[in-house]
Amino acid sequence: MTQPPRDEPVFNTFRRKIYRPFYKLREFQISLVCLAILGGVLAWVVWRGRHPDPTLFAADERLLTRAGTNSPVYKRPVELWSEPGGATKLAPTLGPFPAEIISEGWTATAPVGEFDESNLYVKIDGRETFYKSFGFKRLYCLALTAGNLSLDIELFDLGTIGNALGALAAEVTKPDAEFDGFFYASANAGFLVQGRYYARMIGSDDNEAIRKKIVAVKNLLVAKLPAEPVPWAYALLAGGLKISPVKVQYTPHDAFAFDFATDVYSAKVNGDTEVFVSRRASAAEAATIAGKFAEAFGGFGKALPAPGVKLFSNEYVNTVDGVTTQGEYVLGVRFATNAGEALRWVNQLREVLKTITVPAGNDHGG
Amino acid sequence: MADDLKAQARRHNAQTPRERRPEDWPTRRDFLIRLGTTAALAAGAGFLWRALHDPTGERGKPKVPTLRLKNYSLTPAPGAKTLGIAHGENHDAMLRMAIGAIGGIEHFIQKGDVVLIKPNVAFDRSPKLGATTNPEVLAALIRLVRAAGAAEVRVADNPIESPESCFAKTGIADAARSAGAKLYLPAPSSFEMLEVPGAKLIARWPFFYAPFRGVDKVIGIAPVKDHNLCHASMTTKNWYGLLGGRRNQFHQDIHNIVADLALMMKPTFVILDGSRVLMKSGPTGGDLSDVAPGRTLVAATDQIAADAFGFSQLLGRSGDLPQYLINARDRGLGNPDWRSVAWQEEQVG
Repeated sequence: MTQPPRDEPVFNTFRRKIYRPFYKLREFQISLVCLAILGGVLAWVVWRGRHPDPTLFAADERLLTRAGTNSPVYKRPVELWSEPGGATKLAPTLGPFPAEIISEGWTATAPVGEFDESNLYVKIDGRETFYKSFGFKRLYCLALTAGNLSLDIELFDLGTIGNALGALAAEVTKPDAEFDGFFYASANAGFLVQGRYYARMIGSDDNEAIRKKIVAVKNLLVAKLPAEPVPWAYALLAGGLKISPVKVQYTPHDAFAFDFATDVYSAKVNGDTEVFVSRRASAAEAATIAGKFAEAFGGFGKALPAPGVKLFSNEYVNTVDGVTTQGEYVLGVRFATNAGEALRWVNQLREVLKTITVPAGNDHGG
Repeated sequence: MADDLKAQARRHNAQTPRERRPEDWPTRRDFLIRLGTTAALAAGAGFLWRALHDPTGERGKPKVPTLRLKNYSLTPAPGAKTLGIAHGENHDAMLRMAIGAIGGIEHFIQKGDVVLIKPNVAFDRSPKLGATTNPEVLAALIRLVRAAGAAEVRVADNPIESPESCFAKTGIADAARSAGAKLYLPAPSSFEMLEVPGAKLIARWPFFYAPFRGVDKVIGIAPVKDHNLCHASMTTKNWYGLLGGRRNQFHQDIHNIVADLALMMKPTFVILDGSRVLMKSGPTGGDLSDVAPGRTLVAATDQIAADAFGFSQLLGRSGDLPQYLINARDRGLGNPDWRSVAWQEEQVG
């Protein structure tokens, strides 16, 4: 077998002429350097892949300024899309909030946030079940700021005014809370029921400007949000007598341990003094029930003279109880300190009852 | 034409059959080689089939690496208490006293440590409303840790609502930055699958892991607040903020998830921030009149004991402890009978 000529490379099968059968030393050295660089790049890529810079994955903290939520990076589009050349551009939506809510130096930091049953936890993780237990439908959130102050408005649609009142009563439980209708204001916050809506207005601080804005927002919401008939007992006791709605109690059976006393609303009004009302099917039934109350109260003491009201002294606890009727309503008082106070509360109930409009049906609205 | 040729070939083959001569036969060696090759090919094909068989398509998915948190707790210093309780107004002095009682900051933080501090930044509320960690206390803690020689202090939490807004509105961002800490906000790539052996609900669950890379020590700092579901949210519940995924589903079994959190995280120590106490309407709060001035900071190496202290002494709740504290005790994760552990209480400033 003949050996190929020395100058013929193994792979030169076409037997091209070889002009440079050998590499120069410099070329060899440069090749080694190139290979080393390529190897270094490869090693660096592998190492960086296994040790990524954590800052690459973190949100840039420089955006966390006081005006961070105004940063364009985090700003969602406020305006609805409209086709170029199409219909008139739609105005930015504030959801159920009236446009006048953005005024007097207060601006919205973001579009209205909306949450339904499926994502309520995103807004109030840990407390969503509270609102769901009151028939939660939808939550609208609007954040307002004025300088360093902020006011977060959470507007819950709870389906019915009964649910809204229930949520309000469950959240505002202070015994000395003073209500203006269905509105309660604290040093930094306001809580309002308007129709089926329950609004929480949370200010960032105990501040006069915040309190002023809360009242302004409350007035706007009352004016703009649809009202609903108030459950009659709330209209009477909370709306009429200005008793805190959270003090109104409903007892379907055996009120005050009397087996005849059904569907009774009561509320403490002054110390232990308690007023109560019950709506019956007819004036005759109301008279019958009132008679039973009188009989029961009489068992604890003696009858006291009073025009139009059956009053009794309770000799066990040294108080005065009384009951009367007005149409199909039974009106009464328990544990009054004296006959004068008992008469005053019963007469107030009578007067307020004349002024309110009571919707038919649904005795227990809440 | 081609058919004719084929027919001719067939006829030729039939008339002159191939003669099979012994010298044409394969040798034993050839036979064994061919047999072995065939067997090897068959076995290889079978192996490949088995290796690639994926009827559900699950094996084709990329594998998610699972991680475990290390135990960040330390052996207690000699004579150290389990709880250090400081009352007062000066947060720096209160922290020094409380941490001093459980061993001193120098015991927990060594020079060059990378320290992660986990505050509660759950809601975009003003700090005065008590729903989140007091930023002033957080800043004091960061300064203390840095003074002890920490090379880097990280502050991280994963609020479900807009993290940027929560960190800004709670004052945590400003406080952390001004005290020299680095903020870690969650991003989708920040989460890893965490394995918690023995956990009932989070044996494998997405976890906000990015800030934990390279960390030597972990400190929790949580407010004391009422909670709608578990009665009280304090240091143990605070770790809930590190979970990812649809974590809200755990609210249906809130006591077991909080006990799982005590299993998941063994911190270096915790601070119970009772400077303000959200007494009701928690965990979100909103009304300043629900916030009581607690004027208390508690440092603890037993987060369950710290929570039990907060529940009875700061929230003022009497009666049964929250079930999660009992569950944690039953799983050997802490002692909710805080009076039975070593503790030191002082009025500071």
